[in-house]
Amino acid sequence: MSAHVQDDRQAAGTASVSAEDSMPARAGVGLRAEHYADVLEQRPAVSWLEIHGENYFGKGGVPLRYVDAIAEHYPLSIHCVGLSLGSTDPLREDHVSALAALIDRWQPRLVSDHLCWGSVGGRYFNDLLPLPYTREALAHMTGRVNQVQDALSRPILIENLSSYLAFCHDEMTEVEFLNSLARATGCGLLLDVNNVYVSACNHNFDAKAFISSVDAEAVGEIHLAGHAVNHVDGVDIRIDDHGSEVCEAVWDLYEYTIARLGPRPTLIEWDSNIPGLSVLAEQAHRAQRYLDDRNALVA
Amino acid sequence: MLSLREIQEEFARSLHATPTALGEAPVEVSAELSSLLSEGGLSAGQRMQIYRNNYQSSLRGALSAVYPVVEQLVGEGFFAWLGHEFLTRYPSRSGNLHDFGSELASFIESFEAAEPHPFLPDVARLEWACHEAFHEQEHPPLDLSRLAAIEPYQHEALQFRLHPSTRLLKFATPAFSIWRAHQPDTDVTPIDAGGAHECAIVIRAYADVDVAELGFGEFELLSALHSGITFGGACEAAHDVDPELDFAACIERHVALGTLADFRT
Repeated sequence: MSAHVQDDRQAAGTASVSAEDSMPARAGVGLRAEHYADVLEQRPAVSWLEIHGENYFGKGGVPLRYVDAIAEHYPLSIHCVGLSLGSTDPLREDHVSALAALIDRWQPRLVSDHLCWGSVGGRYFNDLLPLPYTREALAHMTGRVNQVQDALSRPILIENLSSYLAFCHDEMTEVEFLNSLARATGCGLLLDVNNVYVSACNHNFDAKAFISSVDAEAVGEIHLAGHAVNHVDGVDIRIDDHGSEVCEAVWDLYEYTIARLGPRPTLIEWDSNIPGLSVLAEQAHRAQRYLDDRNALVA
Repeated sequence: MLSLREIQEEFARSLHATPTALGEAPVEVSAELSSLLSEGGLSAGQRMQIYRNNYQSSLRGALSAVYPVVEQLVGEGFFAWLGHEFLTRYPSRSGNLHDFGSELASFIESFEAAEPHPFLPDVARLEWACHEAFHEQEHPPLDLSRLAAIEPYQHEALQFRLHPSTRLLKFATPAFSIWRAHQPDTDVTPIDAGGAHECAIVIRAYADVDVAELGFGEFELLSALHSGITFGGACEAAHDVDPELDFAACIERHVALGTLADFRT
């Protein structure tokens, strides 16, 4: 969590994560069920792990047991996909309290969800759907992020999206929207560099301009992942499937990102066609080399 | 200009529009929503189609993960159709994907094309029970020394508590045998699909979910215990169903499986 975020929350009288509990600005990997046993046996040399909160909303069983054991060895981050923060339905308190129970259980260093909506009229699409970047949507997201942060008594991070359509009545860019949201709520930002790249390609904007404009102080975490390229009627559309290695263009953008922001906790995400743990660890080691190079440069 | 609420409702209608043949009909996007979407390369319908594909494939993927034997029994193509029809009638109601699909067994009962497979709803019920048991709460094992200290004259009055992950199932079909024949580590044996009724227990007292066949008397015994009837009363009910039932063997088996989790005198 950045100092900026903590200051805002303290000023607002909200509990914040203390400095000694902050996530190291090093590389981690997403923890997937396929790798539970390997992580415990091999203890890969990655600095932290991130779990998807909703996978542990059950009352018991193997997933909770494994993470109980793994949390003894690695700092954790809890990343959510289902709070549906941008939905105009009421916030689901059962979802928030299930998340609160996990936070209580594992004391994660970071907690996050997305700048998106995923449900309306009680129907869930279990997907990350784009919001229009309007003042109306900003006011709505501001209220929702405040509501969740108050319920959890801690700041959360909000992640930028990969999107496949854009609204022409936008009143600001996605990055302006995120910066305003961070200012208004004290939330942190989870900068997904792959998502910036995917959306920049799909909507023809400058990925580096996005990175240059993001409120550096607010960025508490970075995501890296692979994506797919689909061809529809002669048009390339990039799909954020987290099913392959980080592509070279995204590594370049990551190098640019940490040159500008400084080192940040950086996560390798891989959610489909999941390979062996060593492949994820190698990707994390590559990210760590960029972080080390950046640290050497500053020192 | 549409409000944020209206945009989300229109968006949802486009995602939900149900094509007559799987995946063939283009997505319909209302003129009002379409006028708000940026042009460039792809049409609004093509862009919405990406979201519909993502949404439907992730929910169908969730069904495949919970119902692998149902999918094996009907084949991938039929299962995709079944999943699609199910989704149009039972949309996801939770931001937690693990909550999705509980009504599949009752949906199959009403799904005409599944009529040639009368055992399918029971197999779906068994698989949902496994899914529930997998995520169910923990309970410490039965304290055997405490049980051993109970005087024999008190046994009849004991009230057992079953492990919270216990699911007792009674089928009008050989659903358990069919399920077992489709497990990865089992040699597939021919099953008489029109054969006998069966009972089964699903439980996760240890790391893995256990699924085992139950005799009818044994099912009666556990059901009675589960409903809070004393051990004596449960034995009488079970005896009515199966006069040959070996109670000592039953208790031994369900101590080992972890079914009997606690008791009070």
